[in-house]
Amino acid sequence: MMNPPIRILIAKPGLDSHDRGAKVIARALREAGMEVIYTGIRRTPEEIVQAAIEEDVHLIGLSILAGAHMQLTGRVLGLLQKNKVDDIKVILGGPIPPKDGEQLKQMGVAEVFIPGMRIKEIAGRIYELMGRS
Amino acid sequence: MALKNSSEIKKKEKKWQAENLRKQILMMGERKEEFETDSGIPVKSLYTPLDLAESNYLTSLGFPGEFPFTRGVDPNMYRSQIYRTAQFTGFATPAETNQLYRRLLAQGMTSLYMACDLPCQLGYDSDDPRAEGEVGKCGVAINSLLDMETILDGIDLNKTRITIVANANAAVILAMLDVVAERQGVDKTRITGFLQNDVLKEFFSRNTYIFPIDPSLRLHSDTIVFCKENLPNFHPFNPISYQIREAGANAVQEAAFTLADAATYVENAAKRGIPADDLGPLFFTVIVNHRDFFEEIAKIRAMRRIWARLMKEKFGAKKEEACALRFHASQGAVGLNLKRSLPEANIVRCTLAGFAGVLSGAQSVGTRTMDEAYGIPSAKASLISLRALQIIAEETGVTHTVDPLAGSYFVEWLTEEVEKRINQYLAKIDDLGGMVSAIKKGYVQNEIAQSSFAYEMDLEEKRKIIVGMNLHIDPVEEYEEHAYYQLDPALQQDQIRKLKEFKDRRDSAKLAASLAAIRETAAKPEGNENNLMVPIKEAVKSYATIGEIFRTLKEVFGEHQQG
Repeated sequence: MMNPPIRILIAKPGLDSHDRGAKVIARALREAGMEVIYTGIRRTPEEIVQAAIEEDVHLIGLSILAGAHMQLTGRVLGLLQKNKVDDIKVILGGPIPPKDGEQLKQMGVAEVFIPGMRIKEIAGRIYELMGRS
Repeated sequence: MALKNSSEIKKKEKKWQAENLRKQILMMGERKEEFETDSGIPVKSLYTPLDLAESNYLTSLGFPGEFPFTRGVDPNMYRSQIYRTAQFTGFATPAETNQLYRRLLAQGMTSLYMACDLPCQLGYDSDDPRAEGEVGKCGVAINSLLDMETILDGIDLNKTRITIVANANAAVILAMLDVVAERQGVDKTRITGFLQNDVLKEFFSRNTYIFPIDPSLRLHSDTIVFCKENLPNFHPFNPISYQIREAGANAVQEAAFTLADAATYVENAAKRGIPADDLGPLFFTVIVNHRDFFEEIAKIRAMRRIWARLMKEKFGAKKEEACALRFHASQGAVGLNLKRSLPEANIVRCTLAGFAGVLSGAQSVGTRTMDEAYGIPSAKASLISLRALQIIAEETGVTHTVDPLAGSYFVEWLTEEVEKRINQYLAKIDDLGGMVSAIKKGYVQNEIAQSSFAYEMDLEEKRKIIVGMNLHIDPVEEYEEHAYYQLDPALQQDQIRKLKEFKDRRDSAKLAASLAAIRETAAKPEGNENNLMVPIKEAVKSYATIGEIFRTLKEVFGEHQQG
């Protein structure tokens, strides 16, 4: 039996408005066979978690380019926990320093994608995270 | 240009193609099926005088410092004055930024280029819940006049040119600058520099908007009128192509959309009593240099020519100087594909882009730094970039003559081709009812999204190459090896604590009255008699914060929602 398609919420938390990456990734993942919901810019962590629950997604893909990734990602993870959601994985894309990336993974982020990664790599890794490689 | 021997050149070119060129291609093939510029303009093996047979030197190129300014805006260019160097800087707290500026000026930097943090850009104070984690990150945190006074402490505004990247928040930042200048006691007519204040592009590329598009444009015109009356040699706004390109536009779209924004501002200013002849000399743009060396140079030469003609023919400018497009050559971090692995290679990318800026005839040039794929540049990386610009100026000799690439068959042909394509976009935008209407209809955003996605696919399929990323791949090095900048969270806390203490010390009656005056003026129709800069300046003087002023304006104007 075929698996249902992977559903992912691409979200931009905080004040960062650089949405080129989020839009490109949203379209590319759609073309890679996933169901993609894009939140638009300047969403609060609360809005993002609520949307993820309502949309019943498998993953939240946060796009953060302006340096506030530690606080914002931490808040998304905290809100998921608070809502007792344990079946939504959080992934992150942006110019995330490696040290921060390591720390974010320890906090519960499933994968961190940095500039220079190709779309195929990213889509492949998401399929792998969902056990569908 | 009527070519005397064109038939002979044509004959010999055919022979060369059929014999020598064909022979090499038969033997060795070609590296690609198609050669094209980054924006997709096909490029031939060779360009000859035949490619310029239709062009007229006097009308298309002319002389530098004269209409249509294709060859540059000054007659003698870098022989008289070298381009200014400026790097986009500002971080953490006002005190930290003040120290950085003093250091840069001591190193020979000739103008300051101030970055504000995102909360400030969007009208939030450092202690707003929405500012959590963002204070001092992308630029310096500015909450009130007190912060601006600290940033500019000890910096003589008559000697240092100042540029501030303020857009949706520009009116308040301008008022702060004006008050600081008054208190420094400097000659306000000798203050130079510019505000970014290019609010239109926020609605289709950078997205740092606050109010809906119409009240945003009203505030924009208010700042122009205010500058004319108070800071006559300060550029109240500069149309900027940088964010349009970084949002994914190609070179042609970048140029077209920037010029269309600029044209809108000229039209609006005319409605407020400032004709093209008065506004033109204050025009200063920021144009990006990306990786396609000749296309970038051709783009800028074409933009100068198009702008000069627009100002003269469409907006009725009579003074030549009002038709000159002066610009700062900027560089795009995304467009240059600045990479993390082997970051030193980025120095080469930045230098080449800076070199293109100089060959395009820039009035000032800024370079990116090798570590911008990591975060805010380190002091050493900034210095290397500054030195690169100084090396180009002092060592290479390219500054000895004006517009040295002019007359290159390829460069002139490409300039004409890019010009033609930009004009096609401008005509399309006119058909849509102008730039504001094109943005409201989503046309501009959609064009950019298409290009942006196509570019990524080109990289994916290796139709476009980034050395070290999809060819000759470098392993990502250990991050810790690079001394990149990290913001001390204690500085963020410090800014928030100081703000809270400061808020309690103010005269609350005076403050409330000044905010009420803003609300009252905002509710009146746009016009010189209702210039919002007047009550905004009074509020700034009574130390109202950015958050307080923008909250007040939002009550009247509402907020823009992305479609």
